[in-house]
Amino acid sequence: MIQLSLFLYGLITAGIYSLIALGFSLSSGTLHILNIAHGDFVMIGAYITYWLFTLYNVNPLLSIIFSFSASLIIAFFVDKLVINPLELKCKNIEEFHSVSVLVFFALSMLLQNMVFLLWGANYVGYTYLDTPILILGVPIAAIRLIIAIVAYLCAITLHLFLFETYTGTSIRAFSQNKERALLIGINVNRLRFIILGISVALAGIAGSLISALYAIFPAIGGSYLIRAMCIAALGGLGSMKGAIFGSIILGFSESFVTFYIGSGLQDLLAYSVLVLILLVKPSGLFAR
Amino acid sequence: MTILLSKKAITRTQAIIVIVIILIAAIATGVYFALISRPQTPTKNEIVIGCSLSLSGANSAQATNQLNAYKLWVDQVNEKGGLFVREYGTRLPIRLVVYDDAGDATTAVKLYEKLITEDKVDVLLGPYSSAVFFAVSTVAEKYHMPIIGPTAASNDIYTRGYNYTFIGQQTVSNWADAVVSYINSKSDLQKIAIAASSFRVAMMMASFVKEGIEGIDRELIFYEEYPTGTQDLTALVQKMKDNNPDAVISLGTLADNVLFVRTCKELNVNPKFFYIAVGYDAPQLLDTLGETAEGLCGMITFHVKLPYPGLEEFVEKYKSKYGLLPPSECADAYTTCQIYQAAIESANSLNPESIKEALLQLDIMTIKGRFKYGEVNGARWINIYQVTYVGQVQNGTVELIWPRAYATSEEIYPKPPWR
Repeated sequence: MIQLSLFLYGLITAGIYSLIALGFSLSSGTLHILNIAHGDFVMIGAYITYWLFTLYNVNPLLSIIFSFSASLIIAFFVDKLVINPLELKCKNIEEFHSVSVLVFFALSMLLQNMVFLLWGANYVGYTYLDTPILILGVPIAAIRLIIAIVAYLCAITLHLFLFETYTGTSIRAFSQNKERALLIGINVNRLRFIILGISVALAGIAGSLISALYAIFPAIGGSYLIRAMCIAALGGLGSMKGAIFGSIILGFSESFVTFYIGSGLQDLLAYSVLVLILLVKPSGLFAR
Repeated sequence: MTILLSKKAITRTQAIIVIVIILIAAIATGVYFALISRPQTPTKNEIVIGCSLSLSGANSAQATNQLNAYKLWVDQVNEKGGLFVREYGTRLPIRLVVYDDAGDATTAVKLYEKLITEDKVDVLLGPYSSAVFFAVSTVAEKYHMPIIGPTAASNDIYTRGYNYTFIGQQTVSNWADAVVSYINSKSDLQKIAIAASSFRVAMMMASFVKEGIEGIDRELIFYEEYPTGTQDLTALVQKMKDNNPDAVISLGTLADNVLFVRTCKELNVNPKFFYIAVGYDAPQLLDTLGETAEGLCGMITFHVKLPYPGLEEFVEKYKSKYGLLPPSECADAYTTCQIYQAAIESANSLNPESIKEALLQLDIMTIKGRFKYGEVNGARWINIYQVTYVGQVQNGTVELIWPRAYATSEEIYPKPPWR
């Protein structure tokens, strides 16, 4: 029974992590940017949902649509004002990659401080569907179950999109070789926006979902970014399968290690696994 | 050979002239030194008070509240023409110099050096948080300037033997004493569980509570520390639940506590006494948890219903100026200002040494109760009359339930099941 509880709790946490890690892995692996602001896109999604719920009583699950739309708008501006000019100015992909770290770090600071100014630095939050229901005899708060279902649905949809649609195939081609994708007539500018849009939208959706679980504040994105980076490194940048697998490793290790060994060691063990895997396979488990 | 010289070296007339010159020079020198050494009434137009605060960064909300209380006090004093300093024979208005340290101790240290050496402030107000105060109190000590930390509760700040470092609120060990004495008053609270996040003050409080619980012969059946910001506490709470505790103590940031409480509700952990710190009295906690917070107890350092002189007036003025009830950091900051005011008026001077001596002699009533500095268990200078309270959420508001003498409402015990 205990093992079943730990398994389910680990699976739920993994679902939330995967949503954030998928977006990070997709943009980092295909666009060759290190998106340090990814956690802040999560934070913005969380604030949008919080304000819609608090001011207009909008159902947090419904507000996913608003977070999704707002994320696409943010992605549009990031694409046009940040990535496009950067790509034009950088001489090669290595330069683009390293400069993107600084640019996205600045963007992260900008977003956080914007939220500071607009809404203050206080912790905020709300309660929604926190009554526990029994799943196979294990009590789980209704909202956490819904969040896990939405997260895994998003992951499946993304997988189908990447592997079953023409645009998805183009994205995979683009991530493998940008010049050849150009040669066979793929509109890389359009693709870049689509990739960034999906990445930011996944972060926005994740933000909407987590706002019902945790107290939120402008710097909340930091802890998600670190987890997303580790998961992406573990599974291999750009690999969707790797992001899911990495999330499950981290989710389960947090759950089982906390119970059997102690909370103090959960991060140590999870990141030790990361170091070990990277020592054996530096490009990540599922890297191409 | 005839030498054309007088028998005398100088003539009488010449001697008289020389003597007169020497006399005039002596008198002039005497008058000059007499004028120089005569005490002059010093002149001064204002009292310059300075501090740095975390006006940007993660603690900006609380630091801004602290600044609001400082400003309220400055306005109140200046409305009356300033503070009377006998040394200058007049009332001097206060000018506040404030810098933003963004919550960074290194930046704050540089800013306090600047306040003392360049801005030449007369009085130093404390920054926000224990971590920043820990660093800047070293600067104050170096320049022999007293400093009071309104929001610096960590005991380790005051056990370094510093002479110019004063507290402006209760110490963390006093926070712990309150909950331990409450548990001691309930004979059926035998099995105690503590979960603490790696948040600095929470860890410190956890160690004091643990020590206290062991001191009153209660069984500490569960004690675990977890990284602050952990996203999932179900496994930890499950493990705690298996030990079936009578009392649960959760120590962490407001976000850590929200997750911990929600997880306890999810796993139906229903102890007789559920206590949380820190951030318990922040209105955001009640907004976030809603009905789930009903019956939750927690650490309170200040309450608007406490019966202290001037408190009601402070609450009214704060509310009319800022539109909100003052949170605890405001009360701490305002208390600090009251202490400084009493010390300056009693010292009759702005000399740092005189203010420090006056601080050590003070015994006053503030909006947070009686204040007298002293050394307790190797910590100085802390308030020897400090009291921390235990609050409980009842019908959506926080009431005081412990110590009994200060209770604003009857306690609800045991804690009702989760709503």
